[in-house]
Amino acid sequence: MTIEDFGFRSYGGPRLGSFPRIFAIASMDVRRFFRRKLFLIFFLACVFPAIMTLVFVYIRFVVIEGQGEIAGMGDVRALRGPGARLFANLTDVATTFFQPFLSFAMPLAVAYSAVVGAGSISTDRRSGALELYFTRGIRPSHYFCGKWAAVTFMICCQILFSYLAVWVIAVFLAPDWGFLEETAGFVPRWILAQGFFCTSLGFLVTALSGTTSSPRFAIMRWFGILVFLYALTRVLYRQLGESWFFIFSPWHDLRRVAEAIAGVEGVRGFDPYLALLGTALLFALGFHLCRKSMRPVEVVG
Amino acid sequence: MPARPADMTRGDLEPAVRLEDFTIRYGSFTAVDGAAFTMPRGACGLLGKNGAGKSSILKAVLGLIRPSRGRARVLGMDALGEGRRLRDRIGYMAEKETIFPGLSGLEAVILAGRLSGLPPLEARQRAHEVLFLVRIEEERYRKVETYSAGMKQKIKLAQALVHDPELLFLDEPTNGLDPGGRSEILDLLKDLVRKKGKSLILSSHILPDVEKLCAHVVLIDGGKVLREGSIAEMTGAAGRLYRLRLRGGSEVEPALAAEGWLREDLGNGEYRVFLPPEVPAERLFELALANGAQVRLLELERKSLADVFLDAVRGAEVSKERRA
Repeated sequence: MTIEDFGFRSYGGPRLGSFPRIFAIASMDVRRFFRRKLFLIFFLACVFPAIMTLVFVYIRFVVIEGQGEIAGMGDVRALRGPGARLFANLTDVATTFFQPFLSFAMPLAVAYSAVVGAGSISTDRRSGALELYFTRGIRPSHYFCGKWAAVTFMICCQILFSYLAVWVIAVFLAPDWGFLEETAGFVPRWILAQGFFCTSLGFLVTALSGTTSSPRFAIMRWFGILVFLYALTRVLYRQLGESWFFIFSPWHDLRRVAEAIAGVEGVRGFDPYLALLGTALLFALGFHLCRKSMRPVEVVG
Repeated sequence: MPARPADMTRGDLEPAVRLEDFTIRYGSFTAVDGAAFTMPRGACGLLGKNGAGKSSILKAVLGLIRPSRGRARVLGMDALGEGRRLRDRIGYMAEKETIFPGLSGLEAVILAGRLSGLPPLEARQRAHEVLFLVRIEEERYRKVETYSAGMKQKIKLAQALVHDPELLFLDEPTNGLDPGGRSEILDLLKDLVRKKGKSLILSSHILPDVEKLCAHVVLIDGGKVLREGSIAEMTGAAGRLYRLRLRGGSEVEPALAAEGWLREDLGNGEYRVFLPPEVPAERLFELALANGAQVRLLELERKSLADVFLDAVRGAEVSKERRA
């Protein structure tokens, strides 16, 4: 085999900067996920609340307020019987749109983030890919940012983009611009809140993933931290009636800050500034874990 | 073809690697102790036992490690201060199994190219080309996890080559390859050095591979450089080491000693003689004739690289024992 047989070209063009390299890491990770059939099924299960919301939106705008057969029933609020309550609630934006999200989509995000995030660095560590990354022209921080971006995007797909898509569909399904006017003030804040929530959740799960070479172990740690601390702080709150205990629960911290950004009344009087402090501590801990667990000197050679 | 940016051509005349008084300590353990050597452009071997300090030197070459003392310059750049830019100009092939999980061979090589700063289209095009070059074009769409050990070696080489590095650092590149594959890879590497002007540093325990490919070697042990130089000089291929068999002439031995040449008496009238470069071999005939001896055999003797390596390690151990 000689070079002339196959051709080996020299490359004299420019080398791109850090951002395209981070983007390459993130895009390759996202592509890897969406190629798996099993993951697609899991993803559909996790966006089920959004699909349900779409059904509610359809019933409200097309069937009830549109020209559907039920439209002939007149004011659905005046109806009696088991379906009446459902129909009545469907005309309320909070119930139609945000209740399924808060009740189902966010709790599902715990399991979903574990699946998309826990293996993000640990799998690379196990397969020796860290050595490949760190011997290229990138810093460990670039690598981490790429992984974080991928996980955040994946979480956003479940609890932000899916709902945003439903909202856009709802705006165009509505018989007039009333729905848009009704939600226009809230949705930008809601996007910000969800952006914060997804980014923070993504950061924590990615940082945790870097601490082990076993994705299963990372998942266990993730559930341990989120679910155990969630349960513990709730028990403490019930026993002692002090809401500041929630600062020790990452789930409560992130959710409370997101609620504050969205302008939603928080539950159990948990101070959003305390939640912000808790979030800041979580980020500090995450950075510390990253620095400790991703040192090229120990990975390479 | 667009011109190379200025920083890509900087230091073209510099050696591939230069370590100066390079010391690395991990706590109280000294991994590399005052190493100083120069690896010229071309193919160089880095030889040493396990734990000799090769990995630490590798990390220094890649700009990943801060020495306790001394400095490393690679391709004319400060390895520590310019580590990131330097790694864009180096291709690294690890010894252990390193794969991007869940990606096909093609995607893995594309990602490697993009991580080294290639634009996406260029990375894709070059990935196809290098996969043809290392002969895994048929399997490029398969996941890397399903590859055989030999194919994984080839994909690692493709990843190291895709961004057109000036210097390749290859750690046991022929591990797991069948003889045919091994020969293919060595031929390819030889072509890269000779026809494309690439430099490579080969770290391998398979000394015939090193001998076949490299012109220069650095032998290290216990964190210290034992020997460095061209293989030709070390193995005596430069024509200075002769095997001489004589009949008669008992005065030859004192005559050889009087000339001041290094020699070794092998018994039965046989000698191993080191001649300085300026002394022609005919001088041995003259000496034999003058002392009434008959030359029965005179041949160039060449040590293998393995002999040189073992001699150097043994020598180091003996001197260590003496010091103790």
